[in-house]
Amino acid sequence: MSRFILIIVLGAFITYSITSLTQNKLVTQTTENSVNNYSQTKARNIANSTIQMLMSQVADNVDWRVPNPVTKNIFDGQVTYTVTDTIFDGEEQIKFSAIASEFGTTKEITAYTKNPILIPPALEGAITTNNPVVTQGGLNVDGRNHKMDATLVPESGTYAIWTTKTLNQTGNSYLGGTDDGVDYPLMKPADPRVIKVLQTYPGGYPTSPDSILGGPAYGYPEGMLKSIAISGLNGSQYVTDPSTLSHPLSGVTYVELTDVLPFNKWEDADISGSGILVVHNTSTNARIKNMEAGIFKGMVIVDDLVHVHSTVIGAIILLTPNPSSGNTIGNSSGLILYSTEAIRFALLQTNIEPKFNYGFGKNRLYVNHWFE
Amino acid sequence: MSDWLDLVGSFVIGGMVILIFANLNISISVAASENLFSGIVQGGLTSATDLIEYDFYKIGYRNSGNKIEIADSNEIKFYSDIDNDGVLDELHYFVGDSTTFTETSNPNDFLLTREKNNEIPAASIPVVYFKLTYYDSLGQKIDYTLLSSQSERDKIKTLGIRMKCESADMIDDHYEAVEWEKIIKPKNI
Repeated sequence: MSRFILIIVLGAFITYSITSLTQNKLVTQTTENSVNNYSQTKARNIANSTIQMLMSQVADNVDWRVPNPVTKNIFDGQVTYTVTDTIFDGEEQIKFSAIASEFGTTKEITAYTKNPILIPPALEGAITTNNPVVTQGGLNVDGRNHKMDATLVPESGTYAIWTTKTLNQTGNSYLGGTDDGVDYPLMKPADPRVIKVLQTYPGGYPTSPDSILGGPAYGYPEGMLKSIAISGLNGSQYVTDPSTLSHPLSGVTYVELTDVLPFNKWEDADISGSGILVVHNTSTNARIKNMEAGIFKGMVIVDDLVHVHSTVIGAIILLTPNPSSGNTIGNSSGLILYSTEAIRFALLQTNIEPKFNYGFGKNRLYVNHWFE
Repeated sequence: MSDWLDLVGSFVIGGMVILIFANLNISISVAASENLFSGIVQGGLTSATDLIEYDFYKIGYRNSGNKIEIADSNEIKFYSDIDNDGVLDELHYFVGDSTTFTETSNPNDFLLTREKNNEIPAASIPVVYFKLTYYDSLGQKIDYTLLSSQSERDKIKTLGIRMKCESADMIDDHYEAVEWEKIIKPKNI
């Protein structure tokens, strides 16, 4: 009997041992599953966080790149990253790549952002004003982005009209633009997403051409544009009598009109040319009445503008809060095409390095793709 | 007389020892089976969740058109360049009917199927519960009835996934179950 019990006990012991080993193996596998899942999640978080930090860095300094892989310890893991310029899907983009390692698990994440277009923050739309706007006649304002040859650059434009006051779209005037990376074609009435009325300019609306370009912090202390125009840099001109201008305009064209009425206006203006066109006086009542001829590529900064019958590829910004006609633009048959390329070209004419960086309170990097 | 007493006593004690070990063996066997099935179910679920996470985080990647074509409580169809090869792929997750899935003895399970580009199912996962919920940019749940419209589907910024798997066979009057729930915020939508 005792032998029989001994056999049973031994058998049970062997059975228990085998079962116990199997259980241990299962528990180990289950634990490994959990640990792997946790590690993958943590590696993903590390890679995502790294890319977001890299984007912040580029936002502060748009020229910042990391062409050679850099490895750093972060959040108890390790990450290797690069920031490079690349062409992806036929478009110039910034590529952010991060490979994170955590407990033997790796996760690679790649993100692409649009190449930042550095433009003065005051250019809020194809037309930016500090006064009521009326669009009449056959005026078309297209805030979608264009090249200097007027071809469309998708999903990178701005609003058609941005104003601190009101907008009245009448006649056969069509407005289009881009909002949050989505293009809206010319329409009447315009899609509300491409019109910004009753806006408040942070810190107060600019009061001079130099402040539109950012003021001293951006390399434009008061009088800088005027001094560039006087210097003749890149064909720049400074005149007080617009009839003496040479065409085509180039560089910085600074027309300083008297503030004495009714001599404060430039009538039937031929604006053919490119660069930065400034029509201004210290009373901010210098006026263009009838942009009558020519195609201008670049930035137009005018105190007061009535009637656009020509073509502007770039952007227009108006300074006066008290327009002579009660509103600006008015009856027109012209075409205004927003163009970051033309604006950038215009800024380069001043030979001042653009400093319009991205970041909080300014423009942001636009993320095109995120592969995780 | 004492021999008889020894004999009876031995039988009683031996019988008790045998019963104890038999009971122990049965308990170990049941626990082992439960652990085995639980491990199998958990392994299957983690494989499935790896796949779901891989796909769902990429919703809308390299797609400038409509990102999500179908969004329902137990079905989703979306577009993404899932292989990062420059070619847009269509991913379709949908569930079958528990009555038509007879491969297991579990009457509650049904197949969660993943189809890529309308080809033969790229994966079929037996589940007993699968539910998708959709949230807008403010984190508010979007009603399923609204999601028949593309403009509403364009508002989807976050997806909630809840999934439950059970063992194919019954163990000790119950099915071993493992449940998984996750909120995913695809960055391309």
